[in-house]
Amino acid sequence: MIKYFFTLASIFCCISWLQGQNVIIKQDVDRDFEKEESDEFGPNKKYYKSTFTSFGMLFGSPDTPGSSITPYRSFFYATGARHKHQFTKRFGMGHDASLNFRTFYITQNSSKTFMGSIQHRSERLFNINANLTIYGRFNLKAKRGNQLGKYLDFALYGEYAGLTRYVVTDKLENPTGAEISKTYLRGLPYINKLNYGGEIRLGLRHMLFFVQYRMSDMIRYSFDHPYAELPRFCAGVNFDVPRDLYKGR
Amino acid sequence: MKYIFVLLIFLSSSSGFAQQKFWVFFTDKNGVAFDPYTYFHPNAIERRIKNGLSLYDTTDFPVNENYIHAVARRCDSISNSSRWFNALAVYGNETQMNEIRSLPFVAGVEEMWSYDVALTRKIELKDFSPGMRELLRLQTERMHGSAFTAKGITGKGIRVCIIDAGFTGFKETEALKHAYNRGYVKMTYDFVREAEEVFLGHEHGTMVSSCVAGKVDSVTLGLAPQVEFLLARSEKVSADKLREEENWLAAMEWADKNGAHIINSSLGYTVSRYFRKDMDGKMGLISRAATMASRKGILVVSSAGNEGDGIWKIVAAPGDADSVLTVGGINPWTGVHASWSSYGPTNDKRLKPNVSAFGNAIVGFDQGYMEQAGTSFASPLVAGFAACVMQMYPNLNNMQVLQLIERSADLYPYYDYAHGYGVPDALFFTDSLFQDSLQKQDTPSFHVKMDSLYVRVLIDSAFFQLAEPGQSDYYKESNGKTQKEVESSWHEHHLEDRSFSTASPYVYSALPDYLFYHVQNREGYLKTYYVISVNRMEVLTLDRKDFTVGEVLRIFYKGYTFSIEF
Repeated sequence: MIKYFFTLASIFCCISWLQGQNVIIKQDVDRDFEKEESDEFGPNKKYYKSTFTSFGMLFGSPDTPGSSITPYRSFFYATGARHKHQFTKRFGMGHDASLNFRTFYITQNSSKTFMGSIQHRSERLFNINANLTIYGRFNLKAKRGNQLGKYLDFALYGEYAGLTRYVVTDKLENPTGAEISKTYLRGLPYINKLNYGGEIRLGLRHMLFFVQYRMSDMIRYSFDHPYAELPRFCAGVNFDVPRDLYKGR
Repeated sequence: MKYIFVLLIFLSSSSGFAQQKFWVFFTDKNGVAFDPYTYFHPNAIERRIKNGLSLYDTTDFPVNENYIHAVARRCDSISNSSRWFNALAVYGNETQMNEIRSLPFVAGVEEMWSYDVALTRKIELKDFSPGMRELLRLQTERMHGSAFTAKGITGKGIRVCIIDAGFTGFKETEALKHAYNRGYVKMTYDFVREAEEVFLGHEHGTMVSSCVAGKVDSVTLGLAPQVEFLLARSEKVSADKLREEENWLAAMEWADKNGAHIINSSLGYTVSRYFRKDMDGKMGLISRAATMASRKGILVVSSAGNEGDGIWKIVAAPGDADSVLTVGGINPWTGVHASWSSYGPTNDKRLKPNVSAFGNAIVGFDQGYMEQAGTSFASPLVAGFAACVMQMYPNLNNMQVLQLIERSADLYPYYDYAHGYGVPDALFFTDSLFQDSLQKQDTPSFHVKMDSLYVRVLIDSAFFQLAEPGQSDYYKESNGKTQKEVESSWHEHHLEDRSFSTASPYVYSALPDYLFYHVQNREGYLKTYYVISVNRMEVLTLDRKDFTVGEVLRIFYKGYTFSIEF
């Protein structure tokens, strides 16, 4: 049965090949130019869409030394989609929708007061946020061909922490033989899930350097949870991946 | 943390208020004195006389000194001046420019902006393999270059200016040693550093020069080993890009002043500076400068660009300029347009590229030789060809040479926006019989039958030849679908490129026996064009209802072109 199928398929292919032209090059000029004329999407056109990935560090002084974090271990990662609507050659507005990950590594020293004064092998607060950022973009050069050029973004963001974990790692010295203990806490009552802040970005084509400042308090201070606010700054680099990069011609 | 904010704000403000650069254009050149005999090289005077151009063309007059002083007082500094465009390149800011704009003799002020160089990719080969030798032989022989050599035509006495990003290794490379040692390099100028030394920076200019005049023993890399070189370095790759446009223009004027017959520009400017709609030869200053150089009698040869398989797709400036000889790239191993070579037409639907040459070539550089890909190398191959034509026919002016080179090409009078008129042929210039046979029109290689429903193209039995094996890529990609099914999902198709490393060393020495056809609309430009292989004698059947009144169907096969107007 299979061999009959293959024979038939081969005959069909041969007939098609003989009947069809064997096209080496084909170009439809009108369609190509129509597409260009109607295309409103591009880095320096009316609309622009891209995806992005950001890496950054959390840093800054806490309200009291008890909530200090270790900057190089406290990191930020985000991935999402960006949309820009350009109004003039020099000004546009847009929004970013993303998921971001923030990890605050609490510095373990004698002045620590966050979640108590007990020192651990490591202690971190980790959250995953759904983020919406609205930005205004000011291009530094109007004449830049069809590219993003150099620009300055002023942005406001709001984010909702869908998942928050407080993770404590300790080294054990007990007769059971276990060496490491990891404790995960969730449903933290002292964490504000909704946060907002401002951001400033300096863009060089598809690379943006950013600094974020969280305006809202992430820690809900109470008598039961008298923890100082965590540092509010985040700085890093954002890589904008143009839609054209993965759009086939 | 506050320091980070301060730093960021400083960085952004410093970018925003950085010293900007502008062109200041003047209204006139009143009261300016000019003596062409002291300003121009004798070659430049001779070229003007040959082209019937005035020696006292105001575009050659210097910029009015009083205007320069007046502008100098109102800006930070002056960078350069342009006689052709009666303009000054200046540093300053918007406030200063507003003041300059108000001067009665200022016609306009334009901000300059930066752009990138579309350099070609680099493929290094250690030794000359048989395939490489074949490529080396055919990069000139595909144009029947030996016909020039046999007649002793080597570009002698023709001045070719190469405007490029640097000439590192020019003195050392074996391919150009003869040119350097025999004093064929007549003048050099580095417009980036404002110095005479140009043998530094990028090696791209050396590779390009080797495709004009390079030699390996008795085999030539380019067709004109005895041309006189004017070498101009106009840009510094990956550095301050504000000067580039100005440098390019200054290099053009320098070439004109010093008697260049041909200028080769293997640098193309696209998306970082322009939109596709700007590619009309009138928008970009460099395109306008190239047109101006042509009006001064210089043959400007420009690469089409390497954007064919990218989003940009069409020719790069200055290849969009009207009177520039724009050269596209042929893949030596498929014999047709290389997929990455930029297509035409220009945005105002003029034919580009004008002609084609091998887009893969063996080039010389300081470490020896290598295979390179890009229209950057197709362009100097044709520039060398043009130098030979100019040496053979010294009375022809630049536009006559351009038209004859087009006419000599293997598709002429057929053309399309991938190949232009095809690859130029030296036999057209050296063999009078060959020239005559072209004028008489070739024997028909096919016949066209038309009825009320169809247009059928039948190959003449004497010319019928089955397609070579390996030409069925299109069908392979169609996964068993019929031609119509495949075509409904594609508005364009291109035979997959072959490269030296993956294909047999077979290099096409002539145009493959494909059938070329296009449909020209009533506006005079091509609506669609095809290249198809010939699998049977009734090679093509087209539906008459697909054509409207005034459209022209033009078909080319084995040297014969036939047109039908509907």
